[in-house]
Amino acid sequence: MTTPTRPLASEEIYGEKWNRCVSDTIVKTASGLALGIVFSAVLFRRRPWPVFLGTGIGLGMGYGNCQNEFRSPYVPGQVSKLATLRGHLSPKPSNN
Amino acid sequence: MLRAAHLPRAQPAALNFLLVSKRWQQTPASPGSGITASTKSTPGSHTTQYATNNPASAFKTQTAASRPSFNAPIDRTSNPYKTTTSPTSTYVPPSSQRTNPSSGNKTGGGAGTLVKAIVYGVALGVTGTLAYAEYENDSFRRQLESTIPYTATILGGIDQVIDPVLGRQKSITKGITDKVPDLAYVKDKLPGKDQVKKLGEQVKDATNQVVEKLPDKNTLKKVGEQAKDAVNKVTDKITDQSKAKGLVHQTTDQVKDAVNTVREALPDTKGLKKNLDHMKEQIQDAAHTVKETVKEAVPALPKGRSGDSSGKLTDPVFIEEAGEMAVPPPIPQDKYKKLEEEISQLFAPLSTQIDEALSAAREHISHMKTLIDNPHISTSDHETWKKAEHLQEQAKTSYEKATDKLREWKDKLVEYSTATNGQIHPEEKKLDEKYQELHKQYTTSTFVKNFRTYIDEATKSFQKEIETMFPSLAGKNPTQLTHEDLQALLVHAHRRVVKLQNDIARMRINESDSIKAGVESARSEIDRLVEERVQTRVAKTTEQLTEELKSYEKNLRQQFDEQLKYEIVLQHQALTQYLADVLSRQYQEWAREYEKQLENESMKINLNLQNQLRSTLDRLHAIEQAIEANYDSQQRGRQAQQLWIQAQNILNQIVHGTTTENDLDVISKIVPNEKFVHILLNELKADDSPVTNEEMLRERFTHVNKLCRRVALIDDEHNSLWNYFLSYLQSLLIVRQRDDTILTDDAIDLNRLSTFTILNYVQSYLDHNQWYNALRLMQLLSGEPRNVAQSWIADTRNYLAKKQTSELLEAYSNSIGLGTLPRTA
Repeated sequence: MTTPTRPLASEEIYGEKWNRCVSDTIVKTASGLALGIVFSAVLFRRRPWPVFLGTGIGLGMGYGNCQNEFRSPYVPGQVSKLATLRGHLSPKPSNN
Repeated sequence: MLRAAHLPRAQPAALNFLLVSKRWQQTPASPGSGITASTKSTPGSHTTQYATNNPASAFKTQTAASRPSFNAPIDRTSNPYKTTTSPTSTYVPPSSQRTNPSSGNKTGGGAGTLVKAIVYGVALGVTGTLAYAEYENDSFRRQLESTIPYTATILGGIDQVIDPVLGRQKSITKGITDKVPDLAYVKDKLPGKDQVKKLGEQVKDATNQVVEKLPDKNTLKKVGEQAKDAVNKVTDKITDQSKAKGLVHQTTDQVKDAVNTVREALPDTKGLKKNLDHMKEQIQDAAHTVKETVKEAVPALPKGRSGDSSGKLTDPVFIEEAGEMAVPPPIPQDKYKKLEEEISQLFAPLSTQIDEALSAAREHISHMKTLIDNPHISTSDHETWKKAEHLQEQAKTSYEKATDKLREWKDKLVEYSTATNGQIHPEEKKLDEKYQELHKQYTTSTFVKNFRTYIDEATKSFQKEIETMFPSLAGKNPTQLTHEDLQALLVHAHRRVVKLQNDIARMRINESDSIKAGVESARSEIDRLVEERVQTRVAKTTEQLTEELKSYEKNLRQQFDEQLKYEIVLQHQALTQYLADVLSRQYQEWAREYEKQLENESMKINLNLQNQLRSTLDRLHAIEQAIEANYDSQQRGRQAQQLWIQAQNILNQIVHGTTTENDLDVISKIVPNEKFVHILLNELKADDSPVTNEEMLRERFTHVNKLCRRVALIDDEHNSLWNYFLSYLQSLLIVRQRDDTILTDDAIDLNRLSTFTILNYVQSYLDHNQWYNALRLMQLLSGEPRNVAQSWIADTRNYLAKKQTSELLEAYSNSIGLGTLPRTA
């Protein structure tokens, strides 16, 4: 995630957030899937449930992250205009 | 009983309760006792012990006022241990006991200290007042002495101690009294008329005395009669005619001598001057001696020793001094003593000599007396005469010796009297007496000495007479005388006797006259002397007194003069001060007045000038301004044009693009003096928002619009992803619509606002270029749409602000331009 240099307009934050959210979810799902597959393959004798579990976990994590991100007023890794406007100056570190 | 049931388990709690109750029981005793009674009735040895302990402690602590409050926390902490032992009971009572005696002591001690304090206070006050009175020594002290009775004595006593220490003189009135001269003193010393009168009287008395002591007429008469008797004796004893004659001669001579001696003895002025002090006594002594001598002489001898008393008439006048001199000279005590000694030394031999002389004279006199008395003694009795002569010589020599010594003595006395200022040596009197006596006796002896010669003369003369008259009888013896002779003798004798009687009578008259005259003269002399003395004395005293008075007067006058001078000086000072004050005040007043007037005048002139100046200046200014304004207006016109152009540029740029710094600087160059422009320019320069223009904003709005619709349902609470999905679904379903109603009807129903309606409105506004309204409405968004639209709103705001400033600039330039247009009236 590259951080843009100029401050974001508030309408762009929405888009930015969605980007992050979706990408994050995909990643998490994929990783969950992968882990699920791995687990099912390794530990659980190719039962399908770890896959689904992993995927579900990934999805859920992604969803949760997404939700949190939408709830926070900040875009992580950015000093948003909104924040400056509202007086919050310190940028939050990005959490992956 | 509930409490009681709880007690065995929860002792601390119970104790707490008890302590609280104790604290609460400070004043009333009954509830505590009630409670303790309840505690007493608890079962269990622990509790009974505890209860017994506690009521005791409770009871005891009730007496002590403040102790339980201190004891209570301590008790509480160490309580579990105390229940078994009984230190509580022991602990508390000592404290209560302690408090009681201490309180008791306190009450007893308090009274004692109070008494002490009172005593100290009183003593301090008294000493303080006394010390202050002593120190101040003025009004306060006087007040104190007048009001409180014994302070005067106390302060006087303190004064005696303090005055020598501090060296201050007592009192207030000392200085004044010293200055006033002592009139009483002088008055006392003045003899006054009374004293002078007294003196005169005394003088008169003395003169009278003297006159009395003088040979009275009686004595003179006596003397005369005695002479007469003698003469008669003579006539009886015819054979002793010569004696009679001699006697008569003697008497006459003696009378003459007496008168002479009176005359001589009277004006013995030297003696008078020397013996001023004791004249009265001398007079008296003289009288005494005169009496004695008269007594002695007169019955024995027909001698008129009348004049001797006058030897004592040294100074009948004084008497007393006319008061003391102002300053008596000091007595040289040594000389005085020495003189005294010498005098006393001389006294004895002198007295013996005088006595000798006296005795010799007396002897002679007695011898002569016998001779005279004895009618049968004739001139031929040489032995007796020789004896008489011898005696007389003896008497003379002794007398001369005595007189010499006496002279010495007198000199010494004079010295003494001058040294001691007229004091008498005690032995002087005696010697004087003796001397006077001696003198008398000596004179009598001298008188008597001549007796024989008188007798001889008398006989011789008688014989001669007889011989001349009766030569025939002379040669005969007395027995041979015939009857005729005898008759002739008798006739002669008778004739002679008659003549003698006539002579005697004449002489008696003459003598009385002469004596009277003598006495008169003596009296007049005495009077004169007395008067003289009196006068001199009086004059002296008056002189002295006048001098004293003068000096006193002078003194007084001096003092008065000084005082007067002082007063005058003071008054002069006061006057001059007053004058100075008045003058200064006057001067100040006038100065002030004149200054005021001057100020007024100057102010008037000043104002006048200023007005004129101002008016001219105003005109000048007006002219200048007009010119300048004209110029200005032209200038400004040009400027305005330029400004307008530039402002337009800026506006266009703002609207459509970006502004550059150059443009703004150009403006500042155009109008360097306009503050308003500067402010605006600063505003524009400071605006560091990202450069936007209208189109961009519009585009952004479309984007924002879309997004806002999509997140319309999201707000602070409902912000999960599901809500996001639902809002998206909603946005898809709601038809986008432009609401143009707002353009006509401005009223917005705030209750019915929602994101969509707002957005519709705003869209319509924007489509009609009503940015301000659009902005206002956009601000009404809430929740997530607001967040989304926030930056658009901010940017729009900035853009609008910039636009406004540039529009202002333009308007300002327009105004300037309008201002510079020539006025058409």
